Amino acid sequence: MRAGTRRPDEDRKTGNHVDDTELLARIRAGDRAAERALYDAHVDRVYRLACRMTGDPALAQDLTQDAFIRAFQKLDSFRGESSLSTWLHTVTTSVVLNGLRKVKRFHRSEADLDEARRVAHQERRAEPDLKQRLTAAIDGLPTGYRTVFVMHDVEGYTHEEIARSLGVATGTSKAQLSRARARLRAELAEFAEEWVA
Amino acid sequence: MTQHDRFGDGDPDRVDELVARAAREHYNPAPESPRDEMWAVIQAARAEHASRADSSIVPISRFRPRQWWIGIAAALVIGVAIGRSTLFESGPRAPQVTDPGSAAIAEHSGPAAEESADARRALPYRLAAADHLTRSEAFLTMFRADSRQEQLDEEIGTWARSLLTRTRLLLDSPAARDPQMSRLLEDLELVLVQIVQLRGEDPEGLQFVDEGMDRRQLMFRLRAASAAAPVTAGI
Repeated sequence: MRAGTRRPDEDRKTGNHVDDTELLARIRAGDRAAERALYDAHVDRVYRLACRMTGDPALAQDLTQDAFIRAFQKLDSFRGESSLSTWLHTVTTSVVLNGLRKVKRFHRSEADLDEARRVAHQERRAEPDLKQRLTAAIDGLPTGYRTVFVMHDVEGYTHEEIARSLGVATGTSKAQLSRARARLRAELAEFAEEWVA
Repeated sequence: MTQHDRFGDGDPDRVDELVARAAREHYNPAPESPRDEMWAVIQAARAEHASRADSSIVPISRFRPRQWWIGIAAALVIGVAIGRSTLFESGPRAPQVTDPGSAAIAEHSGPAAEESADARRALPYRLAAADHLTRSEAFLTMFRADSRQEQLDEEIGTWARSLLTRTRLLLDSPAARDPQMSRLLEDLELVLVQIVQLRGEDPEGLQFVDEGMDRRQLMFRLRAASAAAPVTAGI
């Protein structure tokens, strides 16, 4: 489990687990407090992922809001095939990740990746700052690799959760993570050699 | 953690773990989530959705404001259309009546009937105005929250300009015959002009807008107008 990241199973261990079945029954009965409890149990994790992916807290806020609006809207379609937590995270992360593709600022930042790569390659010797180099290297990953890397290695999602959210096979998630890590190792190894030297 | 610890010994698993750890610390870390603020927006959007059961969901979202303008524009167009059709349905006015008997009847029904027809004609405009004021209130609430966090959206000027256009249309419409509504629209117009003229996140300019809103009690009046809208509009 990654530091700073909490999963529903961890919440159970720490006593923060919210009984999904009871919550769902209360929500369907129109209990606003129950809706809020469900929201509180999951919002931080969704918002954190949105922040990581956008690098823009205001945009992350918009995406998180939309994600929960959609989730509440779809709640009637929840059939209990998975836990409510799993279902909610699948819906909300899907909305967040799909929303990213539609947002102009995100597209603009993608268009700036060439610039990020240029910085990563040309200026690293002049300013070996870990934060900048790391950010440039992660931003420089193809979108699919970056998404899986951020979800798994940074935010602690399982491959099963990632696969459900992205609508891909678990094997695809694992393969993309492996390629993302290999690229980052290659990108950052040069710095390591310099710093170690 | 030393530089060597970070990326040092060449073991791929070790390097992966160190990269991941550094990424958790440095890659777009999230501030504390604004739970209550987001919850308020979510509830507002759900309430709006519930009140429009026959339309698709229109979440309140700062990066998709165009849906607002489409709604306002539609409301104005419908307002104008209904207003015109009401005008045509009301038929020839008193000065055009040539038959003395009919003229006498028209004169007898007089100011009260004319007032009633005017009110009927103005109704669609008042509905459009009520919708516009609700959206303006939402926009100014967002503007205030963003300006206090010094995180103004780069599209804010565009949105303010669109609202300004609608405000001016309404000022020229029968909706502005109500003196209270007219004053509110004029004050809203002034504040929107100030926002349109903002250059970047100019602290003095932002403060000027903020003070102007307070001085005119604009938010309070917008909220009051929104709350009273169904009654005002005669629904």
